[in-house]
Order: sequence, then C-alpha cells, then structure tokens
Amino acid sequence: MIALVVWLLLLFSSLTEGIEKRWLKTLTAFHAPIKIVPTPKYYSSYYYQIDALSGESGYTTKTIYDKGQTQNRDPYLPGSDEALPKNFPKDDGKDPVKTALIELERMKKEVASLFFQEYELGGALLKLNLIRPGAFGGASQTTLSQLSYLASFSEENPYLSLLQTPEEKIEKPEHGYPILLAKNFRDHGVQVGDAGSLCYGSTTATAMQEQRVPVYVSGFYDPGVLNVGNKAILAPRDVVQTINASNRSYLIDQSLSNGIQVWFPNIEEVQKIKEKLLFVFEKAEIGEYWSISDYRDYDFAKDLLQQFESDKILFTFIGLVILVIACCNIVSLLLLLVNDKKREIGILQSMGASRMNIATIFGFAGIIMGVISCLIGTVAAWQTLQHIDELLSFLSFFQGHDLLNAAFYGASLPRTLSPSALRLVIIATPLVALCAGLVPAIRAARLQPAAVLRSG
Amino acid sequence: MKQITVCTKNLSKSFKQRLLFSNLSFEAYPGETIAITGKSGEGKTTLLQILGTLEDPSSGFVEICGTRASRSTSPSLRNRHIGFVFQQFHLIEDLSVYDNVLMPAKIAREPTGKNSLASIRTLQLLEEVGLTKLAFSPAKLLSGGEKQRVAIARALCNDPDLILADEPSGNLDEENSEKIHDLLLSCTKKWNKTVIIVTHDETLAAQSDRRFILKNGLLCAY
Repeated sequence: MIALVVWLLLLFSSLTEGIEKRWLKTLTAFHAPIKIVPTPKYYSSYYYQIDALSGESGYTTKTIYDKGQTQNRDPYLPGSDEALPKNFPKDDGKDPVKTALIELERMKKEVASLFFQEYELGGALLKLNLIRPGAFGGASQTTLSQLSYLASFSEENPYLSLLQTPEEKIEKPEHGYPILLAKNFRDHGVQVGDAGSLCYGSTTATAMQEQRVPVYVSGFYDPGVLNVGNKAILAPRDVVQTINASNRSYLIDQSLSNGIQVWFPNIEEVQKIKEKLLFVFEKAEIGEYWSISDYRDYDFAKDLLQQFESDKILFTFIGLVILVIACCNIVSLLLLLVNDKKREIGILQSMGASRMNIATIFGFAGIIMGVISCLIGTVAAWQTLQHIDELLSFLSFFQGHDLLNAAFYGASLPRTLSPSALRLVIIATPLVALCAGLVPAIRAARLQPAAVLRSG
Repeated sequence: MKQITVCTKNLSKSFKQRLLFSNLSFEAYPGETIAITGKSGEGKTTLLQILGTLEDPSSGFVEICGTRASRSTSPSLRNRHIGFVFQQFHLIEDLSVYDNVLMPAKIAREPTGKNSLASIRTLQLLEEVGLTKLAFSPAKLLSGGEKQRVAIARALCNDPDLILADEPSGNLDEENSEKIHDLLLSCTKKWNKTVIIVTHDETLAAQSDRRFILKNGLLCAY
C-alpha cells in the first residue's frame, strides 16, 4: 500500500514538475525570465520627451534600442528647436537606458551565460504566399493572411535555439527578412522558405497607405501553452522598429511594447538575479525609471503557474493523507505481529530484553517496512516514467484517441524523477512509518512477561 | 561473610482480592538447590516469577546478588544473574538450537561471532547437555526432552548466579525427567549456581538441599 502511494506520489509529482519545467523553459525562452520595462516616470521624463521636440531626433521619441545607440543624450538645441513648453519636465541629467545597459553588461561577469536584448513589440498583417505543386502539374498558390503580433528577436540570442523546432536548413532567399512563426502554422501547411510580407498602414498627407516588408519563413518556434504565442511572429528588430515607427495603432500599452529582456540558464536563480538588478539600478539612481518583473509576475503566465503550484500542493496533501492511511496498515499489521509474537516477546524479556529493546524491534520493523516500500515505490515510479510513453500509447489505443493533448503536455512526457518529490518521499515515508511503528512498539513493550509466559 | 544470591523480605502478592502469599522472607546461597512444592494454585509459579523479576510483588522486595529488583534493574538482573527453565521450554521455535542458546549473550550485546567467547561457551554448553549434533537444527524439530536440555543450556549461557526452574520436567516422560533433573543438578553443582525449582516431583524435591512447601500463603520449610 505504501509502495503504491509512493509510486503514485512520485509519478504525479515528477510528471507535473517535468511538464511545468518544460513549459517554463519555453515560456522563459520566449518571454525571458526577467523583463525590464520603462515606468511611466521614464515616459514622462525630459530624457524621453525631449526627442519629440528635437530636430536631431527627427521630432520623434526613441525606442530603448535607439536610446542605447545614440551618442547624444540630449539632442535639444535651444537655438534651432522650438521652445520647450512651460510645464515640460526638468532634465535630471541621468541616462537611464545607457546606465541600465552598462549595469547589465557588468552583471554578465557575475552571472554566467547571462544575455540581454532590447525588445520591441508591434503588430502587422502577415501575408504568406503558399506556392505548392498542383495536382495536375504546374503550381497552385494560396495566400495565408493573419493579423499578428510582432516581437523583435535578435538572431544572436543564444536562447533562440531553445525555442526553435528542428527544421531543414534552406537557402536564404535573395530578399526578405527571416521570421519565425509559431509551430501551429506548420501544422496548417506553412513550410520553411515560404515567402510573403508583413503589411502595415502608414499615414501620409492625404491617406493611409499600406506598406509591405518582405519576409520569409526561416523556421518555427514552440510557443508553449500560451494562446498569445500562436499569433506572435519573431522578427528582426529592424522590421519591428520600422513598422512601429510608422504605425503605433496596434500597440495596447506603450510600456508593454518596449523593454529589455534578460536571459540566464538557471531559472531557479531568478529571484536572486532580480534582486541584484533592483539593487544595482537603485544604486545607479535609475530605479524609478525601470520596472523589473520576472516570469512569475507576467500576467499571461501567472494564473497557469499558480494553478500548477496549487495542483502540486493539493496532490502532495492528498498523497500525504493517503500515506498516513497506508501507514495505518502498518499499525494494524504490526499489532497483529505483536499479538502473534507475544510468546517470543515474553521469552526475550525473560532473558533480559528491556522494554526499550522490544519497542526498538517493532519500531525498527515499521521503519524497515516504510523504507522497503519507499524503495519499491521509487523504483516502480522510475520504471513507469521510463516507459510512460509506451504506457500512454497503450492506454490511447484502448481509448481510441490520444490520452493526453500533445499541445498541452508535449510530444512526450518527462521521464525524470522529481528531486523535490523524491526528497519528500525519502524523508516523509520512513518518518510516518516510524510513527506508525510506535503504536505497536509501545504495545509490545507494555506486555507483561509473566502473564505472557504463563499463558504461552 | 557468606554471599547471598537471592534475598527476599516480606514478600506478598495478591491478585485483586485474593492473597496468594504474604511476608515471605528467605535467602538462598551459591551452590544451593531449593525446591518449592505445593498444590496447584498456591502461587508457586508466581513466587518464582517474582524471584525472577518477571513480576512485581504487591509488597516487599527481592534482591539478586545484592541488587534490589526494580523496573529499571530487572532487565539487566535477568540477563546477567538469572537463568530460566520453563515447563513449556519457551524456545524460539524458528531459530536453531545454537541461536536459542546464544540469545542471552546477544541481548547482553556481547560479541557473538564465530570464534567469540559467547559462541565457544554456547558450543560447550551444548556439548554439556549432549546436543552438539543438533546445534544447527531448528528448535521446532526437537523432542520435548531435547528442548528442555536446550532451555537448560540457554539458562546457563550468560553464566548466571541463579537458575529458576518452573516444573522443568512437567511435560516430560519419566526417563527424560530423570535426565533433566540430573543435568540441572549436576550443571548447577558443577558451576556453583543457586537453583530454585518449583516442582510437583517428589524425587526431584528430595534431591534438593532445602525444601519448602507453599501452603495457604505461607512458605514452610519441609
């Protein structure tokens, strides 16, 4: 019974933890474990606003990337640019973007494999020409149109490989920018190499004109379980910047559209790195310009992660309750054993075994039962995990369709035992078994040898 | 001054309303064999169990080799100073003869490996009781007489000062009874043990150095 509970507890915990880790890996590969976005204070600062009044900046505000690239922190020329409005914010002399980038560069020395990039989000209409061989020779062409989000993604980002699904390499077309589509596009017939354009509106003096940026599909990425992912296109920064500069009507919230993403390999360090960033930004006196959030704070992922956490806690609780019930079996079993071995207990006591000796024997029996059950359950859980896909195929065969949705659970389930569940089981099972062994141990120790030997 | 193995003072025992015996006081010495006889239900076995610290008296006390029996001292007194021989043998049936005899040494946490003192002593005792050939047979396969010989060997394992035998030949035929009596008495004389035997067997009682009758709650010298 205990072995069964251990098996169940380990299996469920390992699967949920493995799936959660896999989702988190995709989530953080796509959205980065830490995002640094400008605060309203940034957008209302002299530093940000001054570009809109400066001829050198083309009378338009700059993105974080542009701010990082520009040599001139304050492009305003009092002689040639128009006068500043009365209530225009005062210049505090700080350069929040460059300071942030310098601090992040410094962090790279402390955190191995830390990578950061400025990102921009936008929107455009994707039009792809799907040219396929026709049924009777020649070729047929269909056009796929999809209003999509655009996310800038540097090709130098080493974490991009975590997102990309393995595809055949293609020759780079003569023109067009490479884009990555969510893998569900592939399921709907899109292939690597398909070309098309990203369409967006650009206002002119007389009307709104449609502009097009030529693109081609260079690959697909796994968006994880988040619905928004299926409509997001990963595109080079230049493309997103060009589209955003012409048309900002797709943007929901200015603060969400621009920021800095920070990646690092060990996601468990997220709290430490976030705190460190908060600290260094505060120290550099740019803390008020930036809001630093980690993946646990992302609105789109929060509910899912919380649900995962709740499921784990709930199941662990249920598992522990079942474990306690299973240990009641140990109590019954050992009480029967005590009853059965009364005579032997009396004999041992007559030879000088103390109550403690007798109690230890039965307490130890409880622990041994717990440990052996724990081992059996652990081995069984490990073996089940090694063959989980075969098991699921077998069950799916009887059910007539896939038992688990691949979009949700992935193509195959995790196969490794959860270390935290293993720790819990290794500590809790012998402890509960010891507690279970105490009752019969006390009962055995309280036996009166004289009465037992007389009756035996 | 003569060494005392067992000393009891004003020993009384009653079960609920029924008084078994009261104010029993006596002493026993090394090398001495004492037989306690009496009718069934007079409390002979209870007295023996109190002397063996398996049961607490209602009042009075027992001292074994100078140590007063109490809840804390009883286990070590039983292990180091007392050996029991029961009417029903009380061997651990699933263990071998050798392991049964060695058990008191194991409880005393003595080394019990192949060439340990305890092991050598066990084999000597088995030779003494004539069971060397059956040393590694399971106890459950032995006859009644053989089992009682194992019980005697086990009682002597930790070289105790006091042997308490409760009807040692009660479950045996005449021939085996005689063998057991001889063995018990010879072993104890040989090693200068104090032996207290509760018995109905007149022959055995007659072979003892001292004889008591437990009657109407009083222990009277025969």
